[in-house]
Formats: sequence, C-alpha cells, structure tokens
Amino acid sequence: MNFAGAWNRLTDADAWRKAAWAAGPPLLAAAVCLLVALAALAAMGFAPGEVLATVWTRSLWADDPQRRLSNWADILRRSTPLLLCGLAITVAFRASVWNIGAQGQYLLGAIAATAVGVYLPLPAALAVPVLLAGSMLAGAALAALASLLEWWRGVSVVLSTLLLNFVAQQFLRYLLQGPMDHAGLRHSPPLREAAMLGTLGGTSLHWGFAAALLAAAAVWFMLHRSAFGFRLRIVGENPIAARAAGIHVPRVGLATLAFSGALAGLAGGVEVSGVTHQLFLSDAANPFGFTGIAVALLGRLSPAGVVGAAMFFGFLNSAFPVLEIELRLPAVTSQAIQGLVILLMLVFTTPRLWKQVRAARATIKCTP
Amino acid sequence: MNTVRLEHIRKRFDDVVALDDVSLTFRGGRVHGLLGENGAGKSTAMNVLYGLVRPDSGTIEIDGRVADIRSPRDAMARGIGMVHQHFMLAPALRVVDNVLLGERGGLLLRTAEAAERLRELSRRLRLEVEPMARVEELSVGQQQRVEILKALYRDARLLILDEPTAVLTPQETDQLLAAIDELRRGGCTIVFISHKLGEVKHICDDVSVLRRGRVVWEGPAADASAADLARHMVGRDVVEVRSRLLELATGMDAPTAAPPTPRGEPAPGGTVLALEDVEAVGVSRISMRVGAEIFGVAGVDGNGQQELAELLVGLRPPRTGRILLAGRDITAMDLRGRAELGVASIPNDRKREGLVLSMSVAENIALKHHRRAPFSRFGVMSWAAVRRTARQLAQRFDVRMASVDAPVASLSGGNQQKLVLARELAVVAPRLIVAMNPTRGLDIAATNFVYERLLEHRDAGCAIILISSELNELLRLSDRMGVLYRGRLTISNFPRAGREAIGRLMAGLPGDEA
Repeated sequence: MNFAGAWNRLTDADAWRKAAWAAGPPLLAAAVCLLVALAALAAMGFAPGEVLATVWTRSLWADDPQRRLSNWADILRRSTPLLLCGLAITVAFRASVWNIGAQGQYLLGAIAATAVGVYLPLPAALAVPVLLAGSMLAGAALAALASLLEWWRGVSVVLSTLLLNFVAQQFLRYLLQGPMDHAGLRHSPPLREAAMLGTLGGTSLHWGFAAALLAAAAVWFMLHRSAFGFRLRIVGENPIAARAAGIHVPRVGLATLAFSGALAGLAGGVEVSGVTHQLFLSDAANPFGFTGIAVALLGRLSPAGVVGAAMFFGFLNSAFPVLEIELRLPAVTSQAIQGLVILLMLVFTTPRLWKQVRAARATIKCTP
Repeated sequence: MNTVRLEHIRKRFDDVVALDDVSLTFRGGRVHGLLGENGAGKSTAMNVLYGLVRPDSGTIEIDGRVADIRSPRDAMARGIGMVHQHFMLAPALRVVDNVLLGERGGLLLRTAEAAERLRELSRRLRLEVEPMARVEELSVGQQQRVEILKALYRDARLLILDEPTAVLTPQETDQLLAAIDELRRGGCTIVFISHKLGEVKHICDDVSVLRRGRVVWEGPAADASAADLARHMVGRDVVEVRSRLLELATGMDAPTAAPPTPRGEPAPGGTVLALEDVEAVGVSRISMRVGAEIFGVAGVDGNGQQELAELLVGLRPPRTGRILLAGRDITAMDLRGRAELGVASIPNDRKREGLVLSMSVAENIALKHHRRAPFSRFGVMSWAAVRRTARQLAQRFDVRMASVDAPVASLSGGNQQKLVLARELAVVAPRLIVAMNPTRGLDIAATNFVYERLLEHRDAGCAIILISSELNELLRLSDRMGVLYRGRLTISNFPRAGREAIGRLMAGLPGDEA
C-alpha cells in the first residue's frame, strides 16, 4: 500500500469534489423528499415533529434494543423481494431489454414455490433448494416466452411482458378458486415445515435476505466479470455494433430475459417460503415486481445501488404501517405519500437533471 | 445583408476549448471557405452563428448591428440558413412538407402554392427536385438539395453548408458547385465548410483556416496555394507524409502518380478470396478472385455496398454459390467463425457499427474477440489481459486517449478509427480486409494513417476489398476496381479505363469494354 499515494488521494480536492457530485444527488434528494413529505402531511393536519418522532422511535431507533433489532429485521425482510425484483430489472435493462413483467414472473415464481412446498414431500435438506429452483425456473420460463415471441414474431417485449402479468394474475386466481383452494378459503394450503426458510436470531428476517445479497453479488459478477455479461452490456449499449462483432443478439436477449425472470421468480419463492408460507389472492396486489422497476432506476442499474435502493423502499414499507397505526394516517394517504417519495427520488437522482444543473452553473460562471 | 461578423467568440465544452477568440467576417455575395481538420471548430463556429450553440462570450454582428441569435428560428428570421452534414429531414414526408415544416402563419398549409414556388426556385438554381416526391425515395444528393431549398425558401441570404460534398458523387459535386456559383451571382453569401482543399480552391473567394479553435490564416483564396492551406490546417510541426498520400488525403488534384500496371485476376495459387456464383439478398450473382491486392469497389451510396460488405464478413448468408478464403470454404460460416480465420471488417459507420461509444477503449478492443484467451477463459473475462493488450495496441496504432479506461466517445474521430483498425488488424492476423469508407470524416493525418495500414497489409499478402464513395481514394489506391450498380458488381477495365468510364458505370451506363 502506497501511503503517499493514499495521502495524495485524500488531499486531492478534485477527487473530493467528484465524490461529492456522485453522492450528493441521492442525499439531497432524500432531504428534499423528507421535507416535501412532511409538508404534505402537515397540510393534512399531522404535526411534522410528531411524524418524525414516531418514525424515529417506532422504526429506526427504538429504545428497547430487542425492539430495535426486530424493527431493523422488519425493514430488511420487506426489502428482500424488492431487492430481487430490482436485480431482475437491472439485468434486463442493462441489456436494453424492457422487462415490464417482473410482477408476473414474481407471481409465477410464488405459485411454483407453493406447489413444490405443499405437494412435493421432500427431505428437509432438499425441500428449500428445490422450492427455490422451481420458483426461478417458473419465472424464467414466463420471461423466456416473451423473448421467444419477439424472436419469432417480432412482438415487443414491453407489450408481451406487460400482458403476461395479467395472465399470471388470473392464473393465480384460477388456482386459488380451484385446484389449490384450501378448504374453500381461497388460499392455498400452508407449506410443509421442511419447505420454509429459517429465520435469523428469533427475528422475522429469514435466510432469503442473505440469498438476495448473494444474488446481488452474483449479478455484479455476471455483468462485470463474465463474458456473457460483457455481451449483455454490449447488446444493451449498441445492438448494431454487437451484431457486427458477431454477437447473436436475439440469443443474448433470450438468455437475459430468462436470467431476469429467474430473479423475479426467486423473489416470489423467497417470499412464500420465508414470509407468507402459503398463497393468497391478495398476493396479486403486492406490487413487488412493479416497485422493482423504481428500485432498479433509483439504484442506477448497479447491483450495489439496487441494494441501497431496496433498503430505502423496505424502510418506507416498514415505517408507513407504523404511522397508520400510531397516528391514524389513512392507508390511502400513506400510499400517496410513498408514491410521491418515489417520484421525487427518481426526479432528483436522474443524471440528466444534474448535468443541466452543472451546465447552468458553468454558464453563470462564464458570463461576465 | 452585406456583412456578417463573428466577434471574439469563445466556447468551452467541459474541459475542451472549442473556440478560442474566433473572429470571422463574411462579406456579402461571396463564397467563404472555412477550412480545418476535424475538431478544429468549424462546425461549432457555424452552430454559434445558426443559434444552435450559445457562445460563452463574443458577439454576432449583422451589417454592423449586434444580433442576439438564440435559436435557429432567430437565425432564419435574420436570413441565415444552414445545411447540416447529417440532414434534418423527415423521410416519410414529401419534399414540400419538409420545406413547410416549422413554418408559422395560419392554420392551413398552402401546399400547392408552396410546391409551385419550390419548383420555380429549384428550376432557377438548377437544383432539380420534385416537390411532391417523398424524401425517403430521394438519393442523398437530392436530399441535400431539399435542405438547400428549405433554407432558400425562407429567404436565407447567408447559407452555411457543412461539408456538403462529403456525401456526393463526382457528378453531383459538380452540380452543387454550379449551384453555389449561381447563388453567388444572385447575391447570396455562402459559407462553405470543408477539409477538401481542391474544392475550396476551386469555388471560394475568401478562406479562413481554423486549427484547434483558433483562426490561423485568412485571406483571399487566390493568395494561398493548396499546399500552403494544407500546412496551415495541419500545423507546421505535424507531418512527414509521403506526398502521394498527402495529396490523396486532402483531395487535391495533384499530378497523377504512375498508375498501377494493369493486371487481371490472380493465378489460382495467389488467390486469397474467391467468390463462385455467389448471390444474396441485395447482391446479384458474383464470381471473382482477389489476390494480395486492393480491390476497389465504387458506386453511388445505396447500390449494394452495405450488402456486399455484409456478405463478405458473414452477416448476410448467401443464397447460392461458394465463398473460399485461401482455398477453404467459408460459405456457411458466420461472422465469428470468419473473424477467427482472419476476415477483418472496417465498417461504414464506426460510431454505430464499429464501436460501443459508451464503453472504454479496452472493452472495445475486446469487443469482437472477447471469447479468446487471454481475453477470457471459461467464460470469465480477464480485464487485466484486455487492458494490457489495449495499451500495447493503442501505442502501436498511436491512439491518443486519457487511458484505456476512458470511454471511446471521448476520443476524436481519427483516434476512434485507429482503435477500430487496431482491433481488426492486430488481434487476429487478417487475410481479408473488408473496408467500407474507412477514411470518412477523418483528418489528414488519420486518413494517411489508414492508407498506410492498408498498403502495408496488401504488401504483406492480404486481400483488401475497399468499398468507398470517394472516387479519388479508389482511383489512387486500387490495383483493380469494380463498380456496384443496383446490387450488380461490374469489374472494370481499370486502370486502363479511367475516371470517366468508372463514372459511367456508377450511373448504370454501359461501361468501358474496350
């Protein structure tokens, strides 16, 4: 380790400025989001101080250490499916494959996981791996179908993946009203014990979170270290140059969508095996797949960024129910505020905006 | 409008000073040549005048009064029109619609009236275009006329032409120069941006030479020889260029070097590439043999050049026939297989086909051969090996860049092309080089560099198919020549038959069977 070099880097004003420009936007965005959200709540008659205090003590930093730990576990648990869906979108979007169907792939993954977990009597060592593999396969198959439609018939992936969401949703409804219905209650039977993911240290956090982090690392390796990931990025940046370099663009597109679908499917499997332990009709209304798009964009399509973004969304999903209970914040309001926060975050972290700000600054400096 | 002045214009783009205190004076009714290499600031200066780029400081004066031009609309209102290098037309619309596009006034378009006026205008300037034709059906030369007419229709008194001859056939170039002459006679001022000295000397009254954002020479065109202008453009310090190549690179009509000796097909033993009754979509049946030589392919753009190149490199499967490379049948091989055997490709549009601009220099070096060791092993990239190779090749091919991790978009056009050459010629030893317009848009030094590499590889035994829309380039570099017309390749009698005969073949007329 070169000490002088390190010292130079530390004292290099330019490097600091660059780092500030990189980290500044998301942080500033968070601050503005906070202010706008508080202002909106204040306009509805909720004292900002009280809101902040509630979020702080009930979600971020509870007095009781045990409570604090379980709150954090809740945040991470809620961020898990978002992280996997965000990674699914990241993989696809890096190849300029516009997968809008993570929601459907998520549901199909959840269905496959439930089918394996309920009906396949497997030994404990095999149950969870087979369940997760099944969910990935299901998600990948649905996504691959969209890619094949494009390859054969030129159907836009945006359309086919979007529409397959509805197919997956209705398939779930059909299963819960018919073949998988448990005692006429319109939900599936519960999973076998062996097919459930274990939890960490007595909290609600399950091993699926670790799997999601592992998936993030795998996606990073795939994109930046593997030859396939290199092809994927080339296709994403310039499909014409990719073709001229001898890369089979439709084949890369198919593999990318299958990979993406597998991650979204895994999100469904992890959620069923780790949290719900059975399928409900209301699962179709959990917009993990769609929120995954926002997570991926907020994370700037980088695996590390997506981890951060997913935790932010996990925090929102964990904090707002608390506000609903403690301050009687209407659920609709809470959803509207969350939507606003997402929108603001996206607006403020979009690179183009910051380019414009910089350009404006430069002009101001140059005019006498 | 008599005089248009740019006064002390400065413009920076991030860290690059594009214009450094540039002052230019365009006098009414004269053709003013703006010379300079790529990146010298010619286009930027004119984009300032046309309101597309806001200068950091400096003013524009029209007839002594300061004009605040903030948009092309302002510029047009003041009688300034511009024809860009890349046309700004809507292909699906008719000529007249394109001319009326953006026109204000009234809810109804008076199309018929406008078409009549347009027809009259085009007849007067001898820039024939049918107003009711769809733009996508027009040739590139005709589309350029539409752009010129569009500006003149709005009463432009000063017309900026950005590299107008770069896309034209010799005949079309002559027609354009005649039209410029006609406009000048009508009192119009023309700014003629170019890096081709021959044309500038031929048509311009005044010349300004820009280098690295500064005006380094200005005066009447008659006061400087083409060689002087070339030196001003490049800077004294730069080149030791073989004179024949310098002439070529600058498009000067210098005394012809000794023409190559006529030769026929290579003997079977010396054949590198053989096509036997090959036919593909867009390419009529071809049979030919090419040895260690530069086989030039002339033709007006869009007559099958792209298709022929794709057929040879393996992007377009032939319907019939066989393709042999050094005796080996490669007909069924795709691009990847052929690349491994040494089929190199210098594509027509390096920014779209040849490179991924947002990726780094190193990544672009690995683009085509990333599956080979040492670039990757068992599907895992070795970026250290890629970087090492990239550094070596960048040095060998004189690619100027900040580092091998810099995005290719930050390189100049010449350095981008050198990067393409490095990848195509040095990662795998080439046997066949398919080069399409390899010097388009390059400055003199880079053009020269490309020519030297091609000649060097020919002398080393490579077969080179040089497809180009620059006839000068083909006439000087080729050992033999063919002409593409509507997908059919006719092998000419070149060099026995000269420019005239090639021109006839390009127009689809019976050629030089003599």
